Amino acid sequence: MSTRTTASRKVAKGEYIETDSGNKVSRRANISGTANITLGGKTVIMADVHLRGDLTRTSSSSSKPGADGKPSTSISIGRCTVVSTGTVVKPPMRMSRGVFTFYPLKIGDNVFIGPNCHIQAASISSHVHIGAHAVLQPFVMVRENVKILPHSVVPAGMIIPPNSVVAGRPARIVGEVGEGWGVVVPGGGGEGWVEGGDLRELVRSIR
Amino acid sequence: MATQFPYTYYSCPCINPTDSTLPEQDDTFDPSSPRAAFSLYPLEHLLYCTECHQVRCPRCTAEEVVCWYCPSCLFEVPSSTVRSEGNQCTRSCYNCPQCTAPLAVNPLDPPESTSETLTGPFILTCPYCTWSSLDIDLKFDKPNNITGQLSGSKRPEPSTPVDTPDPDLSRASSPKPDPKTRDEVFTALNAFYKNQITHDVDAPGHAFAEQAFSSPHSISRLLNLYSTGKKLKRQRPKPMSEALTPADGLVLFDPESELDTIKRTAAGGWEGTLGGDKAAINTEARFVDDARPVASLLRTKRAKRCRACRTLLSRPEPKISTTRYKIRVVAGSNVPRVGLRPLGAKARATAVSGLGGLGAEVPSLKPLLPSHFVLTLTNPLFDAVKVTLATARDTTGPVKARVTILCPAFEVGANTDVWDEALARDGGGGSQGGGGVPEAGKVWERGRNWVGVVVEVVPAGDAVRGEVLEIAVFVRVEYEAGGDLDGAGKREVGFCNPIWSSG
Ligand SMILES: [Zn+2]
Ligand SMILES: [Zn+2]
Ligand SMILES: [Zn+2]
Ligand SMILES: [Zn+2]
Repeated sequence: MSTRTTASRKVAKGEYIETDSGNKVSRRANISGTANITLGGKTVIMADVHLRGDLTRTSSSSSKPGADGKPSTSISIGRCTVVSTGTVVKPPMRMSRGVFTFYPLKIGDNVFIGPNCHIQAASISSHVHIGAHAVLQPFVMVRENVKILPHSVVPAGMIIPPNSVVAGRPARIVGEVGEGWGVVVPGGGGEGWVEGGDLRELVRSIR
Repeated sequence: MATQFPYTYYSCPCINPTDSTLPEQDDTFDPSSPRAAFSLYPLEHLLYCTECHQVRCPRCTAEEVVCWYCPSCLFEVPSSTVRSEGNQCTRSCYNCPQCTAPLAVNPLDPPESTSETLTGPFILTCPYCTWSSLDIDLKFDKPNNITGQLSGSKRPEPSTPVDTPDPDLSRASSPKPDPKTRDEVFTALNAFYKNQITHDVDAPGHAFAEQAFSSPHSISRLLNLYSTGKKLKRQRPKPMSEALTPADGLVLFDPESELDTIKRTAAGGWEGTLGGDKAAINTEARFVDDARPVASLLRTKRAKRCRACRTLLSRPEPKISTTRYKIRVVAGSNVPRVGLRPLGAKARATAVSGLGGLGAEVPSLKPLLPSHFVLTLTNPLFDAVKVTLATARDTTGPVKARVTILCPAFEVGANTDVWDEALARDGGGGSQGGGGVPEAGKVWERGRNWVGVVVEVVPAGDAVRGEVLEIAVFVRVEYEAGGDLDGAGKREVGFCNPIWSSG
């Protein structure tokens, strides 16, 4: 993990608190259970985002999360991922054999989650672009290079295969992303990033 | 596709028909023409043929299936299985007949405690709507191999291994004989007529003993029939009998069932029937109660070739688990990328407003008032290029506007030393210019491999409110590839670069 120490020199009154690994977390973000959340670095958590790290896996013997003193990761987010305003990220829960169990939620690198989404997926792979107001119901698995159009509702347990475009309520596969998905030539004019591509430029521009 | 503003579509050369019977097209490209819609694509959907030196859109590529796989279980399906079983998953992947959501297999009675093991019967439930396979009296013994169990339960004999349903849960069983599904009828008919042919062939004294229907013998026989020269004086083949019994696959018109259908429709109304799209995936069903789960349709990984020269443009790795390509020549790394943003709005502001997609920063045009935009061209090539821009003076389409590119000819630097600029950009040293008043003939701003020029847009007085203004920009790229095999070349790319107008 590369560490960008330039942040510590910054004036501490910005919108974002920048960590040593370059994560930018809004002061207005709502994060519960910080100990159970990992951010991969250069990841942005915007204002009014709610990360429910407090909902950890509970075994039948111990009802308190992390009772053995070792916090278990409930939400892990990769590098250069952007979680936009108003989005709720919550580990998926299943009522299994009479017990409520939360399962860890894993989000990959260079994932863009639009504003006001509700994410309860089991996993979101890298280079995924999720439009605004999308709902990912429990245990959805999103594979690499997927575009979820705004206002989609992805039904529980759906597996979205790589390179697909999904939309609708319930969401279905409506197409494929092109071969050029995520391919970007570094250049000027704020065009340094595209959907599904490397989001470093975007992360850098957010401040 | 839901696209953010402003968006850019790139035209494929197939926009100019080479068919000489069509009237000669003039050079003005009209993005609102019906023909244009078929050749305008987002950059990510375009490939590039290095032999033809041209952009290739999905229309201009030929596809070859590399592998088939199920989108739900992500298992590869061999093409032989696809041929025999059809284009569907043969494992346990089914979709809801009501809403298309993938169905889950659940035990009918969830165990109370962790100690109990999962026992049948199992049912398919939809996680999205309220449909479950109980609605059509389907239960399964095992949670796996649903397809096998489903084909078993389709058999007319009611004594299948499926558990006897609870009386209160089951629908009142209809007294009429089990109607066969379309597939079963087809199988029966197919078997019957195949049998007929073999019988026919085996019959003694048959004139064309070794023939099958599609064999060359049949064709020669047909030709003989129609040839006038010689009359065939041969033993006529025994006429084939037609399917006569339901076992043969005969389906008789049943006025009772038709009457029943009418009654059900009258009683249940629209709610009881399957709507258009649902009926399309469930061709045999007319009523909600008849809708069966739909097996997941397979998807493919495909290689693409240039239609003109057969060059392979993209070929994905055949494994399902990887998204890598063996070959991939995308347009994005061969033609300049075009972007547009309002003048004054910082590049970064555009980027961040794109996040919200809320349209807050979408520029709105005022009639008769000039608005300025920065058109950026980014060069992906490792050589500097000369660019000439052209646009029609007046736009076509719903919003009429006068468009002027203040600096239509310039040079764009090569795409080298990516990291130098990336490092420099943090300090804002990557670009020059970008200040003052837009001036004709002057590049607005310039970076290592990109140039921004100002475009002036003056909407007409009668501009329509809430419509989108699309500007067709013709980009001509000249490049000198020093020492390269290609030598100097010229390429022309048409672009369409729309912006929003709220009147
Ligand atoms: Zn084409
Ligand atoms: Zn499957
Ligand atoms: Zn459903
Ligand atoms: Zn070619």
